[in-house]
Amino acid sequence: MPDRSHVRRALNAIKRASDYEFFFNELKSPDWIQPLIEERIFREPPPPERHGDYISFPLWPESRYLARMANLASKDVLEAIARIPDTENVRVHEDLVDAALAMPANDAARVVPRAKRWLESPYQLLLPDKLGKLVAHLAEGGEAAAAIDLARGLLAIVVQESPREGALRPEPTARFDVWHYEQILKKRYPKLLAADGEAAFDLLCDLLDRAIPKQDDDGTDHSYIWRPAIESVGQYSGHDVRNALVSAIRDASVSLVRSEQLSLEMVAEKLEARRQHVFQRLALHLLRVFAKERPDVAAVRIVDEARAENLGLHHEFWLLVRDAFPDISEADRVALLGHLQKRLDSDLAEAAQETSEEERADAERSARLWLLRRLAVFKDVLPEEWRERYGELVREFAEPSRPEFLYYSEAVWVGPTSPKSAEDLLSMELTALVEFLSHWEPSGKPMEESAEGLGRILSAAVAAEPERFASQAARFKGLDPTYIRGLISGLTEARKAKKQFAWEPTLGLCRWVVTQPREIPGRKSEYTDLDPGWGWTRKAVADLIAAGLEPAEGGIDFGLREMVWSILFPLTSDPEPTPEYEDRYGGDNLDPLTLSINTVRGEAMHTVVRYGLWLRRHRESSESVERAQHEGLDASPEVRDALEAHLDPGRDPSLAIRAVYGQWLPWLALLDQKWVRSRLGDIFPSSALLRSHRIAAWEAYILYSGPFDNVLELLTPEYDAAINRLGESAGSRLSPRSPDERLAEHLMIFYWRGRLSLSDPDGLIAHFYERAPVEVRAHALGFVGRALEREPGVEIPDAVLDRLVSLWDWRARVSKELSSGERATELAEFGWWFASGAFKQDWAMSRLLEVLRIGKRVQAEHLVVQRLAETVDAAPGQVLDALRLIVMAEGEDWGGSLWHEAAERILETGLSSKDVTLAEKSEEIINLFGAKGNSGFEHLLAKKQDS
Amino acid sequence: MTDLPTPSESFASTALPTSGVLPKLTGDSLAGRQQVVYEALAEKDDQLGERGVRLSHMYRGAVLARRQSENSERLVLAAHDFRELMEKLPRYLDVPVAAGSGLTVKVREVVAVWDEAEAQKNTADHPTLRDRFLQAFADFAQWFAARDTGRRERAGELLSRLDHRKLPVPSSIRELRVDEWDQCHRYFEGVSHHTLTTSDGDFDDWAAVLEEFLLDRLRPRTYEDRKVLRDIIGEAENDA
Repeated sequence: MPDRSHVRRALNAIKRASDYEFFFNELKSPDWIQPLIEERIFREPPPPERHGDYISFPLWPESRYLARMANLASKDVLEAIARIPDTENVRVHEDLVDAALAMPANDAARVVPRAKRWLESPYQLLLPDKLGKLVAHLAEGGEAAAAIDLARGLLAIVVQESPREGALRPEPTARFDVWHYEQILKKRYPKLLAADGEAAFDLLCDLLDRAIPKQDDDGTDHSYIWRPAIESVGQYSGHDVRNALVSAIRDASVSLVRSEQLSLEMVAEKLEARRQHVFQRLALHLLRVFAKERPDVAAVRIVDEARAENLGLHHEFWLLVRDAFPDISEADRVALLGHLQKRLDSDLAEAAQETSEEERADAERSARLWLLRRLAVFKDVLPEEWRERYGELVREFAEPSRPEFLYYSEAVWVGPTSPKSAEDLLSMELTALVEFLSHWEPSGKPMEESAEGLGRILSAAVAAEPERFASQAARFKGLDPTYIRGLISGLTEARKAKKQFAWEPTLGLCRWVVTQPREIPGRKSEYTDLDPGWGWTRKAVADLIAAGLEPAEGGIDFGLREMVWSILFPLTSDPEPTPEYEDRYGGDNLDPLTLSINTVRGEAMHTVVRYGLWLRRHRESSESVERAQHEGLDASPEVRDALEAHLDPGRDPSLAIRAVYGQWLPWLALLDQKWVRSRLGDIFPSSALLRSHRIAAWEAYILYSGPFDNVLELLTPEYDAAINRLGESAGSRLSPRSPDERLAEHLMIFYWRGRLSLSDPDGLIAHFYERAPVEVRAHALGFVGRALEREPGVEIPDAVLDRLVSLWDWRARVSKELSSGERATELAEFGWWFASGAFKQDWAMSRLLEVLRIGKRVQAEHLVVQRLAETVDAAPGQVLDALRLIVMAEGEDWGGSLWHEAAERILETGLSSKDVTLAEKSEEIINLFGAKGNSGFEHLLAKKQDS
Repeated sequence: MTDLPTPSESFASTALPTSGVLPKLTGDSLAGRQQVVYEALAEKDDQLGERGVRLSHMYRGAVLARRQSENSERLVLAAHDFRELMEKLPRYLDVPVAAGSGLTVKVREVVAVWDEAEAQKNTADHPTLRDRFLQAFADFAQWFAARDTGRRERAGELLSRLDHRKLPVPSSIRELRVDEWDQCHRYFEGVSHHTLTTSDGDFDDWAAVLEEFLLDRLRPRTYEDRKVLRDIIGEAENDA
């Protein structure tokens, strides 16, 4: 029998936290509880631990022990729980609820007052789910009052005040997420209903009452919008607390009547006693469910004219009529139909008062439509005479769709719609199509067919059969830009899909487009469905030409050079992007390069470079590569003139345009190295006034262009300048990479290729390591390591490997002068290098051990351990040393599960070795795992002993 | 002279090595447990890198000093290194150290007030100065007590940082381990300051306590220790 002396001996033998956890996990008897209480053990639940913006909840072995013992000695466990001080540690709360769940209900009820306090915590984790189970447990065990008490706290509605006067009040919520709320209502609450139906039902109604903001005294709650149908069939009902409660009350009311806990009248009256419409609707729904058994109760509501007229009750009222009508008395049927007739007569009389014939006809139509929509709901059970009247109305207006709903939508609106499908357009003669596009007018109503939708469909049709439209492109001249843009975009799509079509007529249409005045008078609004002017079409033209200049079959014929330029050149003078446009959409929203490809002039400038490359390819094929190189931009003066013109910030101040030069820099150097050299100071201006231009060009280059050898020498001063700016750039929100990290990657690639050297004290590598923050230095080494690891088995030349070894050894040596934190951060990237398997084993292993001895975790830890397992037979001692250091460095965010198998293989190899030292190393590691709370390798020790 | 218990009296409930269990070492080489402790501390030194004096060197210095059988001050010298090791370890593991003056500075402050009182004991100001001295001494006593508490707190924090499992342990368990550390420290402090007379045997026992303490953290034998716990649980529960 455990006593205090056992407890004291055990406490004395606990050397570390994992022993403490182990001790409580091992206890199998509840007899420890009293001596543990006497030794004041249950007094210190660990508080939550806050780490910056994060919070964690340490587990508490004591509460876990109590949870395990609760079914054996509930009274003792309760006594221990009573001694636990209040804590914010939700894991402890969860354990204690587990304990309550394992107790008899009458004991568990004693935990309820504390459990209600736990609900006040802002952190819940699994607590709501467990408390839901406790509600059911208490209810099943005859502790209905305690269960209701707990449920009231658990399901409480939180109503927040408006953030400021006049603002909308936030929707009422539960204390925890809706999904768990729904699950508790569906799975646990039925037990409470079975135990004390009336009290449980009243609680649900109270909760729903609180969840509906009070608006009008007449019960208006707009529930027909947020809950179109009580039965939740076919129509969307949102996942929120109100809807969850409506469903729960609906099911509970039916269940109470079926189980005869309460009568149909009593439940209906309880619901109707509450003012809001949703309760009235729940009552009508309930009556409909029992309409066959109790038509008399339904009839009382059906003949009530106020209910029939109440739009807030429309859905449930008319469905009740439909289902109860055959079974109610003749007198009640006559009364309902009489009301309909009376309403029609009244509406028609009112219509007759209208002064104009047109308004009178409209009002009469409305009156008949009102009747039609009501009759439609129960048309199948109408008396003959009324069925005939219904038929007449259908002939006049057509059969109503879903008349039981005030509003019904079949699908979600996804965008502008077209009056014709792509197939329709393709089946039309071109003349008829142009005629249609010229004359079709949209209604202008929201969500109906629009010109924008038609333009989109036209684009799809053109993309499907481009030649048909391209060869006749001239016939589209004169149409609205919305459709011309659709046509041109369709051709661009077709080109990208490698479909061929005639370019000359296409370019003819494009030339006509660029001669159109950019603005269309009266189309200033951004929200019309017609294009606001020709700007978007001009952008589409630039896109199409760019696609046509790409080196793929079916591109623009060289003979059309002049025609292409005559279209492209005007686009390079397009006002967009204006400075105002860049202010609005640039900055933190879009980086300059992204802005450039979304504007007319920007896209045109990209296309100018593509045009230059297109000419160059032609020159190389018709003359010779050498000659083309020699000529440079002299062979395409129009390109040079355009490029030079937009380098003048006085003429073109746009950062977006400057970014175009950055992105294409290696290709510009390909076109004319001399020209680039001469204009480098303009592309990357050194004046402080033009710093943004320099950054725009540089970041476009570094982020979106690869490191090509042909520009390294040319750009060395710019690389140097960028190194000096390291740490200054915030990067672009839209770019996943930072310019600093990308700079590091460029330098590493140049080094890899042997274009940069470590030995040059004034070189870029030395300068980079002198200036780069530790994260960027680490990124550089990690980039190399990941590149190696990504392509296992690829033969890497020895010269490259030698260079990389030199780089690593240099960094390992130099970093000894740094703080241990910085050193660890940078060298942790060796994980990737080691995992790649690219290096000689001896070198890689010795460097890995060197890095691990710093005591911090390495990157790609799981890959490192897998690689260690692969090499354990060759160097078991070193592999075991490395594994031990990796385990030592493991933090609480245990990653060991990723490499458990590999670690086990290593440990087994060590344990089965005849070399005692290796076996001891394995044992030491297994012990270390245990000290960290991972007992997953203990069985290896037992296996060793058995063998 | 401080009246300290022997290790076996202090931790009667735990299995302790008896004096004389250490291997006979010759020269300056380390072996057995001492070698493991040395390696474990050296590994810590590698991780801590730039922080100056190496823990492993202090430990090795202590062991070698202890072996100087002809040197009558061998225990004092060895105790000094052990004490240094114990005091430096928290600092190297970034355990917060209370800011403020050291003991010497504080004593000097009190002495200064006393000296002033002595110099003016025949003047009219003397009663006021005597009061000031009494107040200065009371402040010193309070500071000294707080210093002692702080030392225990630092020891507790040190234990947490040396533990491989970052799980808070109850204060009752933590205090037991702090007691071990603190008594060990007081022993070596007493010996190094010549305020405690000891024997080779007792010294070796305390050294073994310190070594085991360090190894339990740096080279844990988790499953052997768990066997002790399993046995206690088994004994209690099987007797139920």
